[in-house]
Amino acid sequence: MSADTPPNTPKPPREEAGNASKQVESAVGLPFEGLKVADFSWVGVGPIVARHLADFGATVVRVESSSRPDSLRLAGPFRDGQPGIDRSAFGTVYNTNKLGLALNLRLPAAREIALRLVKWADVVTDSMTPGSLAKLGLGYDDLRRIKPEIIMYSTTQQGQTGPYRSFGGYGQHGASFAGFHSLTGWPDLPPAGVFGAYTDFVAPWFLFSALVAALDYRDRTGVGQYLDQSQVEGALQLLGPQLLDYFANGHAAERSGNDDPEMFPHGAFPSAGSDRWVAIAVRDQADWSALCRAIGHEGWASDPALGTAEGRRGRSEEIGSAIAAWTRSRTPHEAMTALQSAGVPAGAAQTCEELFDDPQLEHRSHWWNMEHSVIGEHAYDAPAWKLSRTPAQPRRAGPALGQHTYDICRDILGLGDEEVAALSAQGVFE
Amino acid sequence: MVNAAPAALAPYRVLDLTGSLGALAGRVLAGLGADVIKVERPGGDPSRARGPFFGGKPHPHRSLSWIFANAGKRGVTLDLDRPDGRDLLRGLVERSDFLVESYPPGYLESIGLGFEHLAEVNPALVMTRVTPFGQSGPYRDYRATDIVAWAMGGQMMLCGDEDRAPLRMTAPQAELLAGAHAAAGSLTAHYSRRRTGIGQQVDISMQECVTWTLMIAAQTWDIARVNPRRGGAVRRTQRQDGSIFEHRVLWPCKDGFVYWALGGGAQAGVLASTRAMAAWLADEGIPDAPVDVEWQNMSATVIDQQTYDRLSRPFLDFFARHSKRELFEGALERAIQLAPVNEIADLAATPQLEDRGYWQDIEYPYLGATLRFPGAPVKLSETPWRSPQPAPLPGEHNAEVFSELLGIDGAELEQLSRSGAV
Repeated sequence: MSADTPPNTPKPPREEAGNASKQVESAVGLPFEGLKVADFSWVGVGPIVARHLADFGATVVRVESSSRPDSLRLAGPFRDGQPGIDRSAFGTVYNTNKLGLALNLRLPAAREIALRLVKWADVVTDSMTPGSLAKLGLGYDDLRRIKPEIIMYSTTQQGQTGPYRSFGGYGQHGASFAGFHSLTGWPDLPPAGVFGAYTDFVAPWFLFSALVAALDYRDRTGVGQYLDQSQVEGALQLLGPQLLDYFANGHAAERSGNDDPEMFPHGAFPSAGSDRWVAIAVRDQADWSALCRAIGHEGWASDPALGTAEGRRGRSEEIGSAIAAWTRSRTPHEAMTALQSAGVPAGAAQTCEELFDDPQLEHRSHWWNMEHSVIGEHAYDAPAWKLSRTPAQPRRAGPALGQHTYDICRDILGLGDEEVAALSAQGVFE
Repeated sequence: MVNAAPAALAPYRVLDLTGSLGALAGRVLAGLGADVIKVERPGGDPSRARGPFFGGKPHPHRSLSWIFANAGKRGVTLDLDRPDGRDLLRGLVERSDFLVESYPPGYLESIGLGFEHLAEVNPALVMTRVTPFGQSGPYRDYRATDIVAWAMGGQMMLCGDEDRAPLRMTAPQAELLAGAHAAAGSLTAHYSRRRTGIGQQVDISMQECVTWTLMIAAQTWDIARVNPRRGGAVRRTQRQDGSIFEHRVLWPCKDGFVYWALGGGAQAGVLASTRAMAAWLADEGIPDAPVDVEWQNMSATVIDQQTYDRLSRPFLDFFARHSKRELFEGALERAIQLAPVNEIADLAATPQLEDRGYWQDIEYPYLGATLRFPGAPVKLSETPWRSPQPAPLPGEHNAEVFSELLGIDGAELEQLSRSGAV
């Protein structure tokens, strides 16, 4: 099968036909071993949550269709810069350890397959515009009729109810709506906004926790439930202090560059090299004394006028210039090492490239390099929570669209080869 | 009655020894129904000195950042530098399921309260440890605040205007993010324990949690050997031929900004949104509404700068006439991917959050006020997110907790209190 052809007829993988059942074996000893997930979600939050279940051992079947692919499969970066439905890292990084099933849900016969999958599953996921799955007869009310103890989550920008529920944007829109964009930038300029689809990387952790709590509850009581997440509501947890401040005090936080109300000095200072920076934060007198010694201004350490953040702020230009004069002759990492040795919180503003050389991220095995069937070997972020006994395991890269359709049909759905062929002929597995 | 419904994590108890780093983890577990006990040093946790403060005046009982992250918890005080204080903690550990902490790596080990020690007391304990860089590794003893983690995790180089220093977000994120990951990690270990009966250690690095916010930026280096660059309201993108293309992501409007992308090509959402927006301009009678443009050919990778600038003008004029809320609500009707760049005051007034009952009003007798909180990050149909009890005062629940869990009360408690252990 050529790399760019969407696999429409599921075939037993030629070389592995003899042991294809290995594809759907569960991960022995991991926390979610034996947990079954039918993942109908796409883009960011929904797949990221299901991915973490898979990384910790769940059997997750990702349901996709080439007739309406996940938009991340159409966005780069692509291997060799060549677009292709299975060539984008974006289309695969949130889907490690999942199995790929191609299923065109618009066809009536596909619904029967989807319902079989639901009967198999403990958890069903959804991130489509509210009501989309219900229109296909796959809403929560449909599912719990055939499997009362099912747990389903729906995660969307604005949630399942309310006047804005139909808003179909991405995490960039979420970051904008939820206030993160307005709070990132310089006071004298328009907001710069936080990078990327920020709410997509905040909301999942709350949804994951709620889901595991719901699983625990089901295990104890036999009762399933429905989880409705507004990604804006999830992400707003990270503005809790600012929201309380506004409601209680009428004070609305505004973007202020790198300034901090309680710390000074506090910011990014220029380093040796083009557009290189080191972040420095002085929390208290101990940090301040250490900084003064490190940059050769011992006298400042004992100056009582500079003993508070406010006092230092009053001489910000002088202090800022002295720090910059010191940082400019050092690379960000040299400055960081020297300041950390002196006891000052400091860190290089690392480029993406440097994250792959960061010895701490390496120590934590943050990058999983896995072999994708089309992209080849490339990097995935490992889960950030490191468990001492049952760590996450990189068992397989994200699936090509429908990569495991045949195995899933046979080993999970119990379909015979003839049935599969007949359904294929109708285009069900596209 | 609020909180009448069952709580998902009701059978479980959490000891929370975090400072500002990681405190959100216990808040999440409390929201899901666990009994969370905040363990502070006598006199209170130093992170109570963090603002903003209720009434604007610094006071350990008035820190709104502390109150936010510690609502829904009970509070006890213990002096872990004293042997009797440590004994009390071991007693609590025996009767708990989780312990979350954020001391510098090695500190708890040095006083006999490391994971190995506590696992002897309670082999089923899930011990979650939240630190700037992790429990081990070359940077384990490095210090970090929010801005340091933001820089080291890779976000800083991606935020800000390119002709100025890179930025963090003005609202500190990294400590809260780490707390959110810590809750998820704790529950992953818990799910393993349900089967095996054996606890374990969960190690969270604030830096690594920031790296998880980079979307596809790092993979862009990995796959394409390009370091994504930061940019402001107008982004500069380098094309394959080396030329620079300037395109706008934040558009000024009557009362602020909206987030929107003008263009077309293969990006179906952007193309449809641009067409629908052009049609809206025409409906409003904007004379040069660009409805007859072949937007399908206007991909950001090929459109020339002059054309882009010319086509932008009618949209800029149109946005200038409308508020961000009008633009958003109109966009909603027309299925346009446009969002308001909301400020804090806008969020407080958004009808969506109101309609979904997002805000939770909690009475704080010790402040003589009712505080409004962001509510459920997820709505659970059977086991709803709990409406939180007020964040505790230091040692507020000493008598209750030590009596209930350790059978210590009356004279014995008074003795411990006088000695400084609690």
